[in-house]
Amino acid sequence: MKNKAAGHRRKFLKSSVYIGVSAIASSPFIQRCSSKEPDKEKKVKLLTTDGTLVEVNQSNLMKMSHQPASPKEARKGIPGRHFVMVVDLSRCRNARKCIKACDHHHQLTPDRPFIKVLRMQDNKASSPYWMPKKCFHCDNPPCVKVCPVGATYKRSDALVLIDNKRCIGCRFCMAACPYSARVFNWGKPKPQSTDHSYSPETSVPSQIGTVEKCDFCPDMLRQDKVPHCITACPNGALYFGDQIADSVTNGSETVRLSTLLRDKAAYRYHEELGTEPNVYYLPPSDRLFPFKEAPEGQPS
Amino acid sequence: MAKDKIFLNDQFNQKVEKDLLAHLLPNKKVGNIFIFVLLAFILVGIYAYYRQLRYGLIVTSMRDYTSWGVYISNFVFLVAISLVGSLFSSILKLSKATWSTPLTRISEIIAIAAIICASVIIIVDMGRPDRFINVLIHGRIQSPIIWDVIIITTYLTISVLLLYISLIPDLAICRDKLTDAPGWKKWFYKVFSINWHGTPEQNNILHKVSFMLSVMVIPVAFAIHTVTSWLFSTTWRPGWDSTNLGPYFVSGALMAGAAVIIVAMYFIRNALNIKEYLTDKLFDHMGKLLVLLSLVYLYFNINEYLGPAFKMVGVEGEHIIELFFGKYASMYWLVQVFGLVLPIVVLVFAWGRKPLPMLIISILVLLGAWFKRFLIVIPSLQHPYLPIQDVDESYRHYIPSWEEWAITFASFAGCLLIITFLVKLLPVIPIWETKKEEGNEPKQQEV
Amino acid sequence: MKAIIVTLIGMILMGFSSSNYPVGGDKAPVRVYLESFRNTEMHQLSVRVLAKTEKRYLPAAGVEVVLYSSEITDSNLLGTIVTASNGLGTYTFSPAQFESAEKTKVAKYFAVIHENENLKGKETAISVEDVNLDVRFMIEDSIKLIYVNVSEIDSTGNNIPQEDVQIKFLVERPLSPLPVGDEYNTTDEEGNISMEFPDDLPGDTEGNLKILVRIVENEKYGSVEVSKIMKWGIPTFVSDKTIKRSLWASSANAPIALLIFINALILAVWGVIFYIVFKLFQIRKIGI
Repeated sequence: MKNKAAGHRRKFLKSSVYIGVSAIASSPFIQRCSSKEPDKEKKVKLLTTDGTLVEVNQSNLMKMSHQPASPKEARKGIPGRHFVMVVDLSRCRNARKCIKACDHHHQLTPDRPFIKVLRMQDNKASSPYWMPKKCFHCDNPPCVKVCPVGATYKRSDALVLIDNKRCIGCRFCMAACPYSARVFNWGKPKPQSTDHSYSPETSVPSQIGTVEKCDFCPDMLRQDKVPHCITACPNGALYFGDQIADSVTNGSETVRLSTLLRDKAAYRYHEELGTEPNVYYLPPSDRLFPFKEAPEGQPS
Repeated sequence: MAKDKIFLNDQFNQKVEKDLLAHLLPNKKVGNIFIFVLLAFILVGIYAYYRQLRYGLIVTSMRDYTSWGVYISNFVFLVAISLVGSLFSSILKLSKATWSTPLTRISEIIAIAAIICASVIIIVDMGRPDRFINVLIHGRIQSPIIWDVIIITTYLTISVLLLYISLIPDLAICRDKLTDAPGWKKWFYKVFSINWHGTPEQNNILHKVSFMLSVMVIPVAFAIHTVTSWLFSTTWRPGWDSTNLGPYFVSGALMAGAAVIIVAMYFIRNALNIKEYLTDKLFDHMGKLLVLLSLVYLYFNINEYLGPAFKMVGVEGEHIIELFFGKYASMYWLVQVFGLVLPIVVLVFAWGRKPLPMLIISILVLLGAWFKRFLIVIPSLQHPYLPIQDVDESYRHYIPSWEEWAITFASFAGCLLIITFLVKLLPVIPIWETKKEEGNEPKQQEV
Repeated sequence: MKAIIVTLIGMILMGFSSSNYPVGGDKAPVRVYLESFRNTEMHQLSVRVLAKTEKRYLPAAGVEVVLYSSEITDSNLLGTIVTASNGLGTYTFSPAQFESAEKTKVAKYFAVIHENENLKGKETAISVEDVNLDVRFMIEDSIKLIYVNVSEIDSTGNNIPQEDVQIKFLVERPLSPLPVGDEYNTTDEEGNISMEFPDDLPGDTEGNLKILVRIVENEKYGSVEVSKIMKWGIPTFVSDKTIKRSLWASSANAPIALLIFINALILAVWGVIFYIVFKLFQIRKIGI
C-alpha cells in the first residue's frame, strides 16, 4: 500500500514539470495561476533557460502540462460537454486563415489540409458561396461504425478522434465518410517538431500509413480554449461551443446556440444520410461580402 | 457376360489410373519454364511491395478520395473466383449433375489458390500491415471488415477440407501406385491418405462428411461474397448504396467462376494430355452453364443500373453519367458488351460451345469480370457527396502505378503457381469417382 | 479536481519570437494598451502590444513590457511580462499586492517598453479608481432579478451613486462567458440597474450557474466583476451515449443481437468443421 502511494507520487512529480524563466532572476516577476491555492512562500531551485540556477517562490511558478492526454485517457471525453461548431456561411469570403492556423497547429503540409473551403452552388439561379468544411464529428458516425479495430472512436463530448497508433490503414473509414473529411498519410509525413509523446488529442506526430482528420483541437478544449481555426477567422464566421451549456463563441462574441440556430434557420449537410453531424451551417444569405472567385493558383 | 464386364472394368480402371496419375511423375520438363515465368512475375511483385513498404502507399496512385484502387478491385475479383469451388463441389454435385464430376478437383484447387491470393492482396492494401495483429487484439464485431476476416478464414478452411476429403481415396491410390515418385511425394501421399483402404466403414464416414460439407459450403460461399459486397454497401457512397449488391456480386462471381474453369480445362487437358477425360462434351455442358449464369448476372446488372439511371438522383446520377457517357464509358461498354452480352450470344449456338471459341469467350468474360470490379470500386469513390476541390489535380484521377500493376500481376502469378503446384502434386481428375462411375458403364466413355 | 493547467507565458514565447518588425533599418513604432481587471478574488493587468509593420499595426509577439505601480521607479516595479503571439500579456497581482492595492482609492499603473534594436520605446499609463459594485440576486413573483448598484465612497465615507456606468450581465460557460439580457445597460442617477434573468438557461446537473456582473472597460474603474453561483439554471442531465450498445460503440458495447447472431453462426459452422476433422481422425484410426 505504502509503496503504491509513493509510486503514485513519483509519477505525479514526473508528469508535472515546473518551469521558470530567466526573467525571474532579474526582476520580481510574479505570476499566479490560481488565487484559490494557499500561498506557501516555499523556495524552489530552478535552472533557467540560460543555464543559471535561481531560487524563486513556489507561488511564482505554474505547473506546465508536460504531456497531453495519453491514448487511453483521450478515449474519454471531457465530462459534461457536447461540442458543436456553427459556420456562418454569410461571413466566409475564402480568406483561408482557418486552414493556415490549422495547418500550423497540426503541422500539416498545405497539400493535405484538415480543413477545406469548398466553392458551393446549390443551383444555377443562386449565387455560389464558400463553405468551410471540417470533420462533422457526427453523432451517428459512419467512420466509427466501420473501423475494424476501434482506432477511430466517438467520445462522450461528441468528438470523433483517431488513435494513429492503432490504425491499420485499411481506409474503410475514408470510404464510409460521406463528407470526405479524412486524409491519409500516403507517404512519410513531414518531420514534425514536438516535445511531447503522441496523443490522439493533438494528432501530432503523424504516422505513415494511417488516417487523420480535423480533431476540434481537444488539447485546446482541455484548457478551456477554442480550436485554432475559430480564433483565426478574420470575419467571425466560425462559432464553437457546448450544446449542453447552450453557448457558442466565435472568439469575439458569445451567443446562445439554440437562439442562433433557430433565428438563422441553421442546417446541416446531408441530413438525409442520418449521420447527425455536430457542425451546423447558417445559410449564405445577407452576406457580409459579395462572392468573389478564388484567385489563380489556389487549388480548386 | 458378367465376368467380361468385370474384366472390362478392370482394364478400364487400370487405364484410368495410368492416365490420371501420369502427370504426378517427374517427367514433364515443359512446366518448368511456365513456373519460372510465374516466379519472375512474383519477384517483380515482391520488389514493388518492398518499395511500398519502404515509401508507403504513396507509390500507388491512390490518394484521398480515390482511397481504394486496384488492390481492392482485384481482391473482389479473386474472392469472386474462389466461389467456383462451391459451384462444382456443392451446387452441381447436390443437383446430381454427374457430368461435372471431372471438374470438381480443378475447381477446388482454383478456389483455394484464389482465396489465398485474395487474403494476401488485402494485406498488401493495408497502410500498416505490421499492425495486422490489432485486428485480433482490438477487433470490433460491428465492422464489416471483421466479418470479412471471419468469413475468409472460414471459407479457406472449408475449401481446404472440401478438396482434401474428396482427395483421400485418390491419395491412397497414389500411395499404392506411385512407387516411382520422389521420396517427399511418397511421404506426403502416405501421411495424408490417413490409412485409407476403402473399407465400407471408411466409405460410410467419408460419404457422410462429404455430404455435410457440400451442404455447408453453399451458405458460407454465398456469405463470403455477400460480405465482400457489404464492404461497399455499408458505406455512405452513392454508387454503392444498393440493396442489390449482394446477389449482384454472387451472380457475377459464379459466372466468372465458370469462365475460369473453362480456361483451366482447356490448358490442363492440353498440358496433361487428358482429352479423353476432359471431353468436348464437357465443354458443351460448361458452355450451357455459362450462358445460364451470364443471364442471371445480366438480370442483376440491369437491376443495378436501371433504377439510378431512371431517377438520376444528384451525385448518383453524375456517377451513372460518368459510367455511361463519361471518362469510364469506353471501359464500361466494352465490359458490358464483350464480357456479358457477347458470351450469351455466342454460347447459345452449338459451334460456340467448342473448346477454342469457349476459351476465347471465357477469357473475355474474365477480363470483363476484372474490369467490372474496377468500375464498381473506383468511379464511386470519385463521386462523393461534397465536391472534390482544394486538392492537387492528381487526386481527381486514378491510373494505377507500375507498383500496383506489378503486385496485381504477381497475385495472378501466385494464384497460377499454387494451382500448378497442386496439379503436380494431386490427381487433377478424381480417379476413384471416374473409376466408380464410368467403370460401371465403360461404353459411355466412347461417346 | 478540476485540473486547470496554465503555462507560464514567457516560456511559450521562446518559440514565437519571430521578427514581425523590419530588420535592420528603421525601428518600428509601437502601441501599448494597458487594462485592469478586478474581481473579488484577483486583480490582473493585461497588456496589448501592436507594432507597425510595413503599413499596418499588427500584434507584436515576444515584446518585453515592464510594469510599475504609482510611478516609474525601481521600488515600484511590478514585473516584466512578454507578449504572446496575439500581442497579449497578462500580469496577475500576488495576494499580498492584491490586498494592498485595494486600500488605495486611485491606483496608477505604467507599462514601459524599452527601446531595442527593433522597436521604438513606448510608455503608457492608466489610473484605476476604487468602486463599489453592489449586486443582489432576488426572486420576486417567481421572476429572477438581479439588482445592481454602483457607487463611490468619498473621503468622508459616504456612498456617492454613480450614473451612466455600463454594466454587463454574463453567465459563465465553457470556453467563454455568455452575455444575458440587453446588450447595453447603464445605471440611473441613483446608481441602480436591474435585469430580469432568463428562465431557460441550462445549468449544471443541479441547476447551478455562475452569474457574472461586470463593469467593462470603464474609463475610471477599468473592468470590475462580481460573481455568484445561483441555482437559477435548468438542471442538465448528460447521458453518455458512448456507453450504450451501438454499431459505433467500442467492441465491448456491440449490440447484443449482432453478438448473438455472429457467434451463433461461427459456432455452428466451426462446430461442423471440427466434427468433420474429428471424423477424419476416425477414418485414420479404422485403417490401422
